[in-house]
Amino acid sequence: MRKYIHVLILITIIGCSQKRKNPEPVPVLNPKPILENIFDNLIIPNFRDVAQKSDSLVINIEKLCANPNQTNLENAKINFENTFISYQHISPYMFGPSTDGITDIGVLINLFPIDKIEIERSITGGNLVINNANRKICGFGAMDYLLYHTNETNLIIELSDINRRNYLKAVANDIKIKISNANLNWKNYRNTFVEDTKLTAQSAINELFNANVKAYELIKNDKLGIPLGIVIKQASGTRPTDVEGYYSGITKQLLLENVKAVENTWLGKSKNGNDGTGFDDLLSEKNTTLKENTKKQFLVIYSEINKISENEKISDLITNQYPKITAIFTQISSNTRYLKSELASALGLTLTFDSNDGD
Amino acid sequence: MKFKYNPFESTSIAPLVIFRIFFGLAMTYSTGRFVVLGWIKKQYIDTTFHFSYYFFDWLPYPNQFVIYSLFFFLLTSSIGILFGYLYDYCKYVFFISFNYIELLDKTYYLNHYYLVSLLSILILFLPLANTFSLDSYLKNEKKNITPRWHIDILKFQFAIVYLFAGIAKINHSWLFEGLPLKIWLPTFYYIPVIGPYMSLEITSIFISWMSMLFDLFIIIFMLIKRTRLLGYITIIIFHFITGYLFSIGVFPLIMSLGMIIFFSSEFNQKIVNKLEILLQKSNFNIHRKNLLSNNIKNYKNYIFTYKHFNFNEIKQKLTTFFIVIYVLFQILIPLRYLLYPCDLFWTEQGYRFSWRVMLVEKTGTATFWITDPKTGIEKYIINSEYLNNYQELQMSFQPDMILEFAHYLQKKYSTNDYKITKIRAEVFVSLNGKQSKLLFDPQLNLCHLNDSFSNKSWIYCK
Repeated sequence: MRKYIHVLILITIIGCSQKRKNPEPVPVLNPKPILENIFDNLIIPNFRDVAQKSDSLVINIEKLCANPNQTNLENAKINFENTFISYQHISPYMFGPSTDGITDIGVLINLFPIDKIEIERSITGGNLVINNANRKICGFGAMDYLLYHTNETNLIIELSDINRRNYLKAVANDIKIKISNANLNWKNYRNTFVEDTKLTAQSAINELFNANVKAYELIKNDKLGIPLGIVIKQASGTRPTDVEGYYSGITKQLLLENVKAVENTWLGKSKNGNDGTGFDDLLSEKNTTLKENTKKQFLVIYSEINKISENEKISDLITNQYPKITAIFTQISSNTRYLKSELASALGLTLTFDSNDGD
Repeated sequence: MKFKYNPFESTSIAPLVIFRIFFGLAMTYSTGRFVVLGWIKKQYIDTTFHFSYYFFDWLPYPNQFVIYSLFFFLLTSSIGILFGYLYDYCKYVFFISFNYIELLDKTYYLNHYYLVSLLSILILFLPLANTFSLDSYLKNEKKNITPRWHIDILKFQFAIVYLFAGIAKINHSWLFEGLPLKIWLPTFYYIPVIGPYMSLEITSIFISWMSMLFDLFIIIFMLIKRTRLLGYITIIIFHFITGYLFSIGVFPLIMSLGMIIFFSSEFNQKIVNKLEILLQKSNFNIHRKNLLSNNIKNYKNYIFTYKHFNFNEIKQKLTTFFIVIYVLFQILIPLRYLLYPCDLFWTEQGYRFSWRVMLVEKTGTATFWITDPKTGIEKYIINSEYLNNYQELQMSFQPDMILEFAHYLQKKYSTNDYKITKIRAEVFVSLNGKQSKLLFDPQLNLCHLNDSFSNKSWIYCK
C-alpha cells in the first residue's frame, strides 16, 4: 500500500509541475507590439516616402524654374501631388519628432486656406524668406496655388518672372527641409518610443492614440466642417475655396488617403497592406463590438467618399451638391465616438495627454 | 441606557496640534506641487470658459494677477498653519483662498479637495494653535486641553469619507463585474511579479471587494484601541498602493496624515514630545521651555482640575446645535441621490460631494449644434476652441456641465439682432467601457432648459 502512496505522490507532483510549466496564457495589455509595428512599418516608411518625394520635388521645381516648359511643369505637378498625398500618411504622427514642442510640421507646411494676396505681394516684393511667422504663404497650400492657379500656358509665362521662380523654389525647399528634419529625428526616436511601454497619460501609446484622434478631428473640422460652412464662428455661407488642395482639385484623394492613414494607425496596417498589430488587436480580446463598429464605420465613410466620381471636385460639389459632402461629414463624425471616447475607455487610455489629478 | 457623550468634556489638545502640523504640511506640499506642475496657468489662466458651481455663478472670475495672488496666499497661510503662526488670521486666509480657487471651475472637482474645503471650515472653530505653536510661544501662553468635540468632529469627518466611499462601492458593477478596475488594472501589466495577474478578472473582483471592505470597516478598526495600529498600517498600505497606481494627487497623503487623529491623546502627545526633542537638538529655540507643552503627567493634572469647560449654557447649546446640523448635512448630502430616479452613475444627479472615489470609468463625445436664427442652418462648434482637454472630457458626460456650456454658447453668439434660440447636442456616453449611448434626445433644445436641483427628466434612464 505504501508503495502505491509513493507512486501517487510522485504522479501528483509530476502532474502539478507539468501544469506549472504551461500556465494559462494571461491576456496582457502590453502596447509594445503596437508601438514596434507602427514605428517600423508605418511611421518610418511613411516619413521616408514623403521625404524622398519632397527631395525630388525640389529637383523637379529646380528643373521647371531653369526651363519653364510644359513637360517640366507636368513633372513638377505630378511630383507635387504624390508628395501631398504621401504627406497624408504622416499626418497621424504629429507628435514627438514631428514637433518642436509647440508647433508640429503639419501646422508649418499644411495650413490651409492660404493667403494668395499675401503670396503675390511677397513675390512682387521679392521676399523669399519663408519664415514661420506667416504660415499661410508657404507649404503645400502655397505650392498648390503656385502650380495650379491658372492654366499651364499662363503659368509658364508667369515663370519668366525671376521673383516667382525664386519664391516657388523657396516654398519647395521649405517643405523639404521640414520633412527631412522630422524624418531624421524619427529615425533616432525608436528606443524612446518603443521602450515606453506603460499606459499612463504621458506614455507613448497614449501619445499615439491622442495624435491619431487629433488627425481625425482635423479631417472632420478643417477639411470638411469649415469648407461646408457649418462651424459656428464662420460667417454664413459655404467656403468651397477653403478645402485642402483647392487649386489642384485633388481634395478627394487627399481626404481619402487621410482617412486611410488614421484607419491604418488604428489597424496597425502599413501602406503596402500588411496588417500588423494595432489598436484593433487589443480590442479583439476586450471589446469585439467596438472593433466591429469601428471597422464598419470606416467602410461606410469610404463608400460615401467614393460616391464622388473621378471628374468631380469637392469644392464644386460643396456649391452644387451640398448633401453629398455633408453625408461624408456625418459619417466621419459618427466614427469619432468609436475612435476617441469608446476606445479610450475600452483600453484604459486617457483622452488628456498631460498630467491631471483624479480621484 | 443613557447616552453619556459630553462634547464639552476636556481632553488633551495634542491630537489637534498634530493634526495642525500635518494638515499644514500636506497643504503646503499640495499647493507647492500645484504651482511646480504649472497647473495654475494650465487650469485657470489658459482657459476661455469656466464651469461654475450651482449657487456660485455670481462669483467673478478673477484676472491672472488675482489668481496668482490667491495661490500665494494659500501657500503662505498653509505654512502659517503648519507653524501655528498668526493662526487666527491664517485660517481665514486659507479658508477664503482655497475655496475661492475651488469654486473657479468645477471641472477640477476632486473629492479630496472637497474634504479640504470642509476641513477649512472646521478649523475656523478649532484652536489648533493653542499650544506647541509660534503663536503660543510668542504670547507665552499655552492651553493643553480642549473640548473633546474639537477632536471628535475631525474623526467624524474622516469617518464619513471612508464610510460613504465604502457604501458607494456596494453595487453590482463594482462587486460582481469588477468594473471599472477591470479596465484600469490591466494597464499595470508591467509591474514585476504581480503585473501579469492584473489582467485577470478575478484580480479586479478581489480588489473591488477588498477595497469595499476596507472603506466600510477601517473606521471601526481605528476606533478600537487593540486594532488601531493594524488599521493604520492597512491605511498606509492601501493609500500607498492606490497612490502608486492611480494619479490621485495628494489624496493618499491627506488621508494617511489625517487619520492620525484617531490615535490616543497619549500617542499624539508622544509625537509632540518627539518633535520637541528634535527642536531642542537643532537648537532652534533658546527659550524652548516656554514653547514646550507639558508632558503627559502634567496633562493628566489638567484633566483632573478641569473636568468640564466652563462655557455658559447658551454657548454650549448653540455649539451643540451647529454640530448636529453639520453632522446631519454630512450624512444627508451623500444620500441625496436617493431622491432622483434612474442610475446615479449614468445621470450623475447627486454624484458630487458624496465621496464616490474612483468609482466609474466614463468618457463621452459631445457635439453641439447651434441654429443660425437668420438662415435656419445648423452649425456645430469645435469644443477644443473653448475648452481644454480635461474640461471637454469632464463636460462630455456630465449633464449640468453640458447645459452650462450650451447656455454659454447661446450668450456668446447672440447679439441684439441675432438671438440664438436653439442649441442641441448629440452626446454619446460610455460608462465602464461599454458601448456608448445617447445621454438625451439629440433634438432637445438646450436653450429652454435650466439647471436646478429638481430631477432632470430629459436625461434618458440608462
